Amino acid sequence: MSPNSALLLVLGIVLVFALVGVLMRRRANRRRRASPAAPDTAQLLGLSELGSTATLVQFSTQFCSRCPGMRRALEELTGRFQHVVLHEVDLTEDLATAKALNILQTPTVLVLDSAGNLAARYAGATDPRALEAELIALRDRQL
Amino acid sequence: MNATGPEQASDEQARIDPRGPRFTAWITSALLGVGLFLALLDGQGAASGLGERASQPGFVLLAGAGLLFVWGFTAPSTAPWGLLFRQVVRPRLSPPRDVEDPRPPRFAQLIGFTVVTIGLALHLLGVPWALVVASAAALGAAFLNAAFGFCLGCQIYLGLARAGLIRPRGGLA
Repeated sequence: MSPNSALLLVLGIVLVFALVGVLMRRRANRRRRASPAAPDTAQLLGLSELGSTATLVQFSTQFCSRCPGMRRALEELTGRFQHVVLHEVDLTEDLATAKALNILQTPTVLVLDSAGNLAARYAGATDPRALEAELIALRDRQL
Repeated sequence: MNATGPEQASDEQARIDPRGPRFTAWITSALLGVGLFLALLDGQGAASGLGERASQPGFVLLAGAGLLFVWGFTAPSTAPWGLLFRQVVRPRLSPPRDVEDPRPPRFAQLIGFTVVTIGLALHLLGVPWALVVASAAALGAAFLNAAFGFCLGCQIYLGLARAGLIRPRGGLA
Protein backbone atom coordinates (compact mmCIF):
# COMPACT_ATOMS: atom_id res chain seq x y z
CA MET A 1 0.00 0.00 0.00
CA SER A 2 1.29 3.49 -0.76
CA PRO A 3 2.15 5.78 2.18
CA ASN A 4 -0.58 8.21 1.18
CA SER A 5 -3.39 5.69 1.15
CA ALA A 6 -2.08 4.08 4.36
CA LEU A 7 -2.13 7.47 6.08
CA LEU A 8 -5.63 8.18 4.82
CA LEU A 9 -6.82 4.81 6.04
CA VAL A 10 -5.35 5.39 9.53
CA LEU A 11 -7.07 8.78 9.72
CA GLY A 12 -10.31 7.26 8.44
CA ILE A 13 -10.20 4.55 11.11
CA VAL A 14 -9.62 7.14 13.84
CA LEU A 15 -12.56 9.15 12.47
CA VAL A 16 -14.82 6.09 12.60
CA PHE A 17 -13.84 5.51 16.24
CA ALA A 18 -14.52 9.16 17.03
CA LEU A 19 -18.02 8.65 15.66
CA VAL A 20 -18.38 5.50 17.78
CA GLY A 21 -17.36 7.55 20.82
CA VAL A 22 -20.01 10.18 20.15
CA LEU A 23 -22.69 7.51 19.68
CA MET A 24 -21.65 5.69 22.84
CA ARG A 25 -21.85 8.87 24.84
CA ARG A 26 -25.32 9.49 23.51
CA ARG A 27 -26.46 5.95 24.25
CA ALA A 28 -25.41 6.25 27.89
CA ASN A 29 -28.18 8.81 28.41
CA ARG A 30 -30.85 6.72 26.77
CA ARG A 31 -33.60 5.48 29.01
CA ARG A 32 -34.52 1.84 28.72
CA ARG A 33 -37.99 1.02 29.91
CA ALA A 34 -38.50 -1.90 32.20
CA SER A 35 -39.54 -4.98 30.30
CA PRO A 36 -42.86 -6.47 31.45
CA ALA A 37 -41.13 -9.73 32.26
CA ALA A 38 -38.54 -8.05 34.48
CA PRO A 39 -37.88 -10.08 37.62
CA ASP A 40 -38.75 -8.61 40.99
CA THR A 41 -35.56 -6.58 41.19
CA ALA A 42 -35.66 -5.53 44.83
CA GLN A 43 -36.29 -9.07 45.97
CA LEU A 44 -33.72 -10.55 43.64
CA LEU A 45 -31.06 -8.22 45.00
CA GLY A 46 -32.21 -8.71 48.57
CA LEU A 47 -32.39 -4.97 49.13
CA SER A 48 -33.14 -4.36 52.77
CA GLU A 49 -33.98 -0.70 52.46
CA LEU A 50 -36.21 0.90 49.84
CA GLY A 51 -36.83 4.60 49.43
CA SER A 52 -40.48 5.55 49.82
CA THR A 53 -40.14 7.68 46.67
CA ALA A 54 -37.57 5.74 44.69
CA THR A 55 -34.50 3.60 44.96
CA LEU A 56 -31.44 3.80 42.71
CA VAL A 57 -29.30 0.72 42.29
CA GLN A 58 -25.88 1.20 40.73
CA PHE A 59 -24.03 -1.86 39.45
CA SER A 60 -20.23 -1.64 39.44
CA THR A 61 -17.18 -3.82 39.10
CA GLN A 62 -13.60 -3.36 40.19
CA PHE A 63 -12.48 -2.91 36.59
CA CYS A 64 -14.82 -0.02 35.92
CA SER A 65 -13.11 3.38 35.98
CA ARG A 66 -16.38 5.27 35.48
CA CYS A 67 -18.11 3.66 38.46
CA PRO A 68 -16.57 5.61 41.36
CA GLY A 69 -17.37 8.93 39.65
CA MET A 70 -20.91 7.77 38.95
CA ARG A 71 -21.26 6.75 42.58
CA ARG A 72 -20.16 10.21 43.76
CA ALA A 73 -22.60 11.90 41.38
CA LEU A 74 -25.46 9.68 42.54
CA GLU A 75 -24.64 10.27 46.20
CA GLU A 76 -24.82 13.98 45.56
CA LEU A 77 -28.07 13.55 43.62
CA THR A 78 -29.88 11.30 46.09
CA GLY A 79 -28.76 13.57 48.93
CA ARG A 80 -31.02 16.24 47.47
CA PHE A 81 -34.11 14.01 47.72
CA GLN A 82 -35.72 13.09 51.00
CA HIS A 83 -37.04 9.63 50.33
CA VAL A 84 -34.61 8.25 47.80
CA VAL A 85 -32.20 5.48 48.72
CA LEU A 86 -29.03 4.59 46.81
CA HIS A 87 -27.54 1.11 46.68
CA GLU A 88 -24.36 0.01 44.96
CA VAL A 89 -23.89 -3.64 43.95
CA ASP A 90 -20.43 -4.98 43.08
CA LEU A 91 -20.85 -7.54 40.32
CA THR A 92 -17.15 -8.45 39.98
CA GLU A 93 -17.75 -11.88 41.46
CA ASP A 94 -21.53 -11.96 41.41
CA LEU A 95 -22.04 -13.07 37.84
CA ALA A 96 -25.32 -14.79 38.69
CA THR A 97 -26.91 -11.42 39.43
CA ALA A 98 -25.42 -9.92 36.27
CA LYS A 99 -26.97 -12.78 34.33
CA ALA A 100 -30.35 -12.58 36.06
CA LEU A 101 -30.68 -8.87 35.32
CA ASN A 102 -28.91 -9.11 31.96
CA ILE A 103 -26.28 -6.53 32.84
CA LEU A 104 -23.54 -6.35 30.25
CA GLN A 105 -21.71 -3.17 31.17
CA THR A 106 -21.01 -1.00 34.17
CA PRO A 107 -22.07 1.39 35.47
CA THR A 108 -25.68 0.35 34.96
CA VAL A 109 -28.29 2.14 37.05
CA LEU A 110 -31.74 0.80 37.81
CA VAL A 111 -34.49 3.11 38.98
CA LEU A 112 -37.00 1.39 41.25
CA ASP A 113 -40.32 2.96 42.17
CA SER A 114 -41.75 3.21 45.70
CA ALA A 115 -42.90 -0.43 45.56
CA GLY A 116 -39.45 -1.61 44.49
CA ASN A 117 -40.55 -2.34 40.93
CA LEU A 118 -38.23 -1.57 38.06
CA ALA A 119 -39.13 1.79 36.52
CA ALA A 120 -36.19 2.47 34.21
CA ARG A 121 -32.71 1.39 33.38
CA TYR A 122 -29.67 3.35 32.21
CA ALA A 123 -26.52 1.63 30.94
CA GLY A 124 -23.23 3.51 30.74
CA ALA A 125 -21.85 6.66 32.32
CA THR A 126 -25.22 8.39 32.39
CA ASP A 127 -25.60 12.12 32.86
CA PRO A 128 -26.96 12.51 36.44
CA ARG A 129 -29.50 15.03 35.09
CA ALA A 130 -31.32 12.22 33.28
CA LEU A 131 -31.61 10.37 36.57
CA GLU A 132 -32.66 13.53 38.36
CA ALA A 133 -35.57 13.89 35.93
CA GLU A 134 -36.45 10.28 36.64
CA LEU A 135 -36.55 10.91 40.41
CA ILE A 136 -38.58 14.10 40.01
CA ALA A 137 -41.13 12.22 37.91
CA LEU A 138 -41.48 9.49 40.55
CA ARG A 139 -41.78 12.07 43.33
CA ASP A 140 -44.43 14.06 41.46
CA ARG A 141 -46.40 10.92 40.85
CA GLN A 142 -46.85 10.59 44.60
CA LEU A 143 -48.21 14.11 45.10
CA MET B 1 -5.78 -9.81 38.27
CA ASN B 2 -6.54 -10.53 41.84
CA ALA B 3 -10.05 -9.55 42.74
CA THR B 4 -10.44 -8.02 46.14
CA GLY B 5 -13.31 -6.07 47.58
CA PRO B 6 -13.63 -2.38 46.81
CA GLU B 7 -13.18 -1.48 50.49
CA GLN B 8 -9.92 -3.36 50.70
CA ALA B 9 -8.65 -1.73 47.56
CA SER B 10 -8.62 1.76 49.00
CA ASP B 11 -6.39 0.58 51.82
CA GLU B 12 -4.11 -1.75 49.94
CA GLN B 13 -3.55 0.04 46.69
CA ALA B 14 -2.34 3.53 46.08
CA ARG B 15 -5.00 5.63 44.40
CA ILE B 16 -3.99 7.27 41.17
CA ASP B 17 -4.62 10.52 39.35
CA PRO B 18 -7.13 9.53 36.63
CA ARG B 19 -5.44 11.91 34.17
CA GLY B 20 -2.36 9.62 34.19
CA PRO B 21 -4.06 6.74 32.32
CA ARG B 22 -5.64 9.24 29.90
CA PHE B 23 -2.17 10.66 29.14
CA THR B 24 -0.86 7.12 28.66
CA ALA B 25 -3.80 6.40 26.35
CA TRP B 26 -2.92 9.36 24.10
CA ILE B 27 0.69 8.17 23.73
CA THR B 28 -0.48 4.59 23.22
CA SER B 29 -2.90 5.80 20.53
CA ALA B 30 -0.08 7.58 18.71
CA LEU B 31 2.14 4.51 18.94
CA LEU B 32 -0.60 2.18 17.69
CA GLY B 33 -1.48 4.66 14.95
CA VAL B 34 2.11 4.51 13.69
CA GLY B 35 2.02 0.72 14.07
CA LEU B 36 -1.16 0.51 12.02
CA PHE B 37 0.36 2.79 9.36
CA LEU B 38 3.46 0.59 9.11
CA ALA B 39 1.36 -2.59 9.08
CA LEU B 40 -0.66 -1.14 6.19
CA LEU B 41 2.55 -0.23 4.32
CA ASP B 42 3.88 -3.78 4.79
CA GLY B 43 0.66 -4.95 3.27
CA GLN B 44 -0.59 -8.45 2.79
CA GLY B 45 1.59 -11.48 2.30
CA ALA B 46 4.60 -9.54 0.97
CA ALA B 47 6.91 -11.36 3.34
CA SER B 48 7.20 -15.09 2.83
CA GLY B 49 9.44 -16.44 5.57
CA LEU B 50 8.96 -16.35 9.34
CA GLY B 51 12.13 -14.33 9.86
CA GLU B 52 11.06 -11.87 7.23
CA ARG B 53 7.62 -11.43 8.79
CA ALA B 54 9.17 -10.96 12.24
CA SER B 55 11.46 -8.18 11.01
CA GLN B 56 8.84 -6.06 9.24
CA PRO B 57 8.68 -2.56 10.77
CA GLY B 58 4.99 -2.87 11.69
CA PHE B 59 5.63 -6.12 13.54
CA VAL B 60 8.61 -4.71 15.42
CA LEU B 61 6.78 -1.57 16.51
CA LEU B 62 3.66 -3.44 17.62
CA ALA B 63 5.81 -5.97 19.50
CA GLY B 64 7.23 -2.96 21.34
CA ALA B 65 3.71 -1.72 22.09
CA GLY B 66 2.88 -5.21 23.37
CA LEU B 67 5.83 -5.12 25.75
CA LEU B 68 4.73 -1.70 27.02
CA PHE B 69 1.30 -3.19 27.73
CA VAL B 70 2.96 -5.97 29.73
CA TRP B 71 4.87 -3.36 31.69
CA GLY B 72 1.63 -1.46 32.21
CA PHE B 73 -0.22 -4.32 33.86
CA THR B 74 2.62 -6.00 35.72
CA ALA B 75 4.37 -2.96 37.19
CA PRO B 76 2.26 0.13 36.45
CA SER B 77 4.18 2.26 38.96
CA THR B 78 7.35 2.04 36.86
CA ALA B 79 5.75 2.01 33.37
CA PRO B 80 7.42 4.75 31.28
CA TRP B 81 4.39 6.84 30.24
CA GLY B 82 3.02 6.86 33.79
CA LEU B 83 6.43 7.91 35.04
CA LEU B 84 6.63 10.66 32.43
CA PHE B 85 3.19 11.87 33.52
CA ARG B 86 4.08 11.96 37.21
CA GLN B 87 7.54 13.49 36.73
CA VAL B 88 6.87 16.03 33.99
CA VAL B 89 3.17 16.59 33.33
CA ARG B 90 1.47 16.37 36.69
CA PRO B 91 3.61 19.03 38.44
CA ARG B 92 2.29 21.51 35.84
CA LEU B 93 -1.36 20.61 36.43
CA SER B 94 -3.69 21.56 39.24
CA PRO B 95 -4.21 18.86 41.88
CA PRO B 96 -6.65 16.14 40.78
CA ARG B 97 -10.33 16.54 41.69
CA ASP B 98 -10.60 12.86 42.45
CA VAL B 99 -8.18 10.00 42.82
CA GLU B 100 -9.14 6.63 41.48
CA ASP B 101 -8.65 2.92 41.68
CA PRO B 102 -5.62 1.71 39.65
CA ARG B 103 -7.26 -1.58 38.66
CA PRO B 104 -9.41 -0.48 35.70
CA PRO B 105 -6.47 0.92 33.67
CA ARG B 106 -4.44 -2.20 34.48
CA PHE B 107 -7.27 -4.33 33.16
CA ALA B 108 -7.27 -2.24 29.98
CA GLN B 109 -3.51 -2.76 29.57
CA LEU B 110 -4.03 -6.51 29.88
CA ILE B 111 -6.73 -6.49 27.21
CA GLY B 112 -4.55 -4.31 24.96
CA PHE B 113 -1.72 -6.79 25.37
CA THR B 114 -4.03 -9.71 24.56
CA VAL B 115 -5.34 -8.10 21.37
CA VAL B 116 -1.88 -7.06 20.11
CA THR B 117 -0.38 -10.47 20.97
CA ILE B 118 -3.08 -12.32 19.04
CA GLY B 119 -2.35 -10.07 16.06
CA LEU B 120 1.41 -10.62 16.31
CA ALA B 121 1.01 -14.41 16.62
CA LEU B 122 -1.37 -14.69 13.67
CA HIS B 123 0.93 -12.47 11.61
CA LEU B 124 3.87 -14.79 12.33
CA LEU B 125 1.71 -17.70 11.21
CA GLY B 126 1.19 -15.86 7.95
CA VAL B 127 -2.44 -14.81 8.40
CA PRO B 128 -2.99 -11.84 6.07
CA TRP B 129 -4.13 -8.54 7.64
CA ALA B 130 -3.83 -9.95 11.19
CA LEU B 131 -1.53 -7.12 12.25
CA VAL B 132 -3.73 -4.48 10.61
CA VAL B 133 -6.92 -5.71 12.29
CA ALA B 134 -5.30 -6.15 15.73
CA SER B 135 -3.60 -2.76 15.71
CA ALA B 136 -6.77 -1.04 14.47
CA ALA B 137 -8.78 -2.65 17.31
CA ALA B 138 -6.20 -1.69 19.93
CA LEU B 139 -5.92 1.82 18.46
CA GLY B 140 -9.70 2.19 18.69
CA ALA B 141 -9.80 1.24 22.36
CA ALA B 142 -6.84 3.48 23.25
CA PHE B 143 -8.20 6.42 21.27
CA LEU B 144 -11.70 6.13 22.76
CA ASN B 145 -10.12 5.98 26.20
CA ALA B 146 -7.99 9.07 25.55
CA ALA B 147 -10.65 11.19 23.86
CA PHE B 148 -13.88 10.02 25.53
CA GLY B 149 -12.83 8.35 28.79
CA PHE B 150 -14.03 5.04 27.38
CA CYS B 151 -13.14 2.22 29.73
CA LEU B 152 -12.66 -1.36 28.57
CA GLY B 153 -13.31 -2.76 32.01
CA CYS B 154 -16.73 -1.07 32.00
CA GLN B 155 -17.66 -2.38 28.59
CA ILE B 156 -16.29 -5.88 28.42
CA TYR B 157 -15.45 -7.21 31.88
CA LEU B 158 -18.94 -8.57 32.57
CA GLY B 159 -19.28 -9.95 29.06
CA LEU B 160 -15.94 -11.80 29.27
CA ALA B 161 -16.62 -13.00 32.80
CA ARG B 162 -20.11 -14.19 31.94
CA ALA B 163 -18.74 -16.00 28.89
CA GLY B 164 -16.27 -17.73 31.20
CA LEU B 165 -13.20 -16.21 29.53
CA ILE B 166 -12.14 -14.49 32.73
CA ARG B 167 -12.51 -15.82 36.22
CA PRO B 168 -13.14 -13.17 38.87
CA ARG B 169 -10.40 -14.70 40.99
CA GLY B 170 -7.14 -15.89 39.53
CA GLY B 171 -6.84 -13.99 36.29
CA LEU B 172 -7.48 -15.31 32.82
CA ALA B 173 -9.28 -18.60 32.60
